[in-house]
Amino acid sequence: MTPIAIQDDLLESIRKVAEQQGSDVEQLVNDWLRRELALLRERAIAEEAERFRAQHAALLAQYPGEYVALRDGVVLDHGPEINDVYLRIKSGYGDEPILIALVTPQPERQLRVRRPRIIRSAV
Amino acid sequence: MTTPYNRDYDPPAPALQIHLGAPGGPFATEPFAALIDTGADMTIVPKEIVLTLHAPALAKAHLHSPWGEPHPIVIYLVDIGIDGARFVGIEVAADETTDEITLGRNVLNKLPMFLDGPARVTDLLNDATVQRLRSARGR
Repeated sequence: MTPIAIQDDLLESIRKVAEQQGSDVEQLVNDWLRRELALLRERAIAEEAERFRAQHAALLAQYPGEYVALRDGVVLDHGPEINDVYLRIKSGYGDEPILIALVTPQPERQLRVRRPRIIRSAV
Repeated sequence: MTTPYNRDYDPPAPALQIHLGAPGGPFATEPFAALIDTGADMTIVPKEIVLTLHAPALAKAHLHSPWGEPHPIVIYLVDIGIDGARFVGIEVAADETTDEITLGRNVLNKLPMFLDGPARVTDLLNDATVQRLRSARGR
């Protein structure tokens, strides 16, 4: 744990929110930070995804059906198992946001859910 | 492990209790109820839950449903705990349009299970039962 100074006016507001949510200030601030870091990483991944799309034809020719790790448009690693690629990237680059995507025939992976749900209506 | 079907659905739907965590990290203390869906290519987790895990976002994708427009999702990597087993480095679709966890085939295909519809329970089979069933199939 590392103490971080929070400005008094903010602290008062945070205390109120924590109280409303049945949480405490420390937990609430940590939850917010975790969430914001995740969203920040998502934005970086979205930017890298544009570079992935731009290079898709070349990537498909070279790495079909593999996962590629891409940073600034450069392939850092690749392989058939995502967890292996992830662990190598994590070991080499830490928590840096690096895209790891499956190279499919389409530039962006298409997933399917076939479960329609019946909502019964009175009419 | 025996898990009752989820009776919020009509007819009741097979479900399992699962734990979620960042790769290599601790699981969230509370287990989550997850719907079993063999029609889902990938496991889907509400984005609000994924954002609490400190798991890495890895890629973008599109999710297609039978009649809806495809919508964009982000693929995260997580560890999933089921009945004491830890499945590491599993891709999940973080979806902000749902509030339920759907266990898709990328996880279901790792599990030997028995959907006991009449009894409305899902059983995860132990190794002895799996071996016995596989031997019987070979006869």
